[in-house]
Amino acid sequence: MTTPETIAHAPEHEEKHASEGTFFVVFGALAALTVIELLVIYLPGLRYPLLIGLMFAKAWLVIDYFMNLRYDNKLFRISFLIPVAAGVIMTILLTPLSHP
Amino acid sequence: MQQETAVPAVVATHASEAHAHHEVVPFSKNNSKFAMWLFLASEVMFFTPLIAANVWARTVQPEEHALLNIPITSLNSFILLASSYFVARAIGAIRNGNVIKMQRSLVLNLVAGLVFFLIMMTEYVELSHHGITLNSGPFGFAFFTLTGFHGLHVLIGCTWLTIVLNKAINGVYTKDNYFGVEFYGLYWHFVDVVWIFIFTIVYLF
Repeated sequence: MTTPETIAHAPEHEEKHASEGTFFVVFGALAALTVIELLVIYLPGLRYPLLIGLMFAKAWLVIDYFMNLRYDNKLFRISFLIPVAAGVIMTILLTPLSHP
Repeated sequence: MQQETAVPAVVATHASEAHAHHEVVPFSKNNSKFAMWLFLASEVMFFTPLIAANVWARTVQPEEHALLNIPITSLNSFILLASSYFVARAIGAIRNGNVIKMQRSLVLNLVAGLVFFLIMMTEYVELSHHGITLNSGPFGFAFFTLTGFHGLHVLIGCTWLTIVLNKAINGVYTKDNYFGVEFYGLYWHFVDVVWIFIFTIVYLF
């Protein structure tokens, strides 16, 4: 019997994805970047640019590896990253960095 | 007129042929994933103004922002990152046919999600003791609206996870059929991504 589950996982093109080991390395990197974020807040001059960079690095790791966007259809990336870019620009324009 | 009737006839022919040969729709999984990515894109547009409102509210009431508990929130960030890892590990495990590891990873995911939510509630209680509530001013309104909606997404994720976990325990997912876990994982990872932005912009800025 064909169920939605079996239909959904029909044989398609050969899928690429990160390995379990890569997932663990990514998790370690995410934890390390979070620790660095907590240290960076004590650097007044570089605080905002570094925090923004670390934040995007963490988001990129989750989206590209955990959400498999690195290996998935390019259309997924475009459909997701355009609103992200629009939102990021809007938010950055409202941060203290834009109003020193 | 002939063209209008010809198109459905061709579609019907293809559909009946596919049915006769027990073919499956080849792009259904990608279509579902694309729909999820579009939904997540709409969620980005939902959360962005809420985050921007927090940035503005923080400049209006900086003294209230200083009351946010960074250490406990940092712990919560690690817990949510770990929960995201557990989902990825569950997917990796079932891809290799390891059902038990998938089940354990999903249980850990559920525990981490619920702990995150409970810690968030304790933070709310702590803030209310300092007089910061939804009605206390721009900062309270912006902060509780944003984190409240994020917490709601965590709860929805936990509910969805309970369904996925139930299926996993009942042996629905196998090495060749785990799309339900993968699909849920997209949502949960997105909740984690939103928190990455909230943690940095709302708490650390």
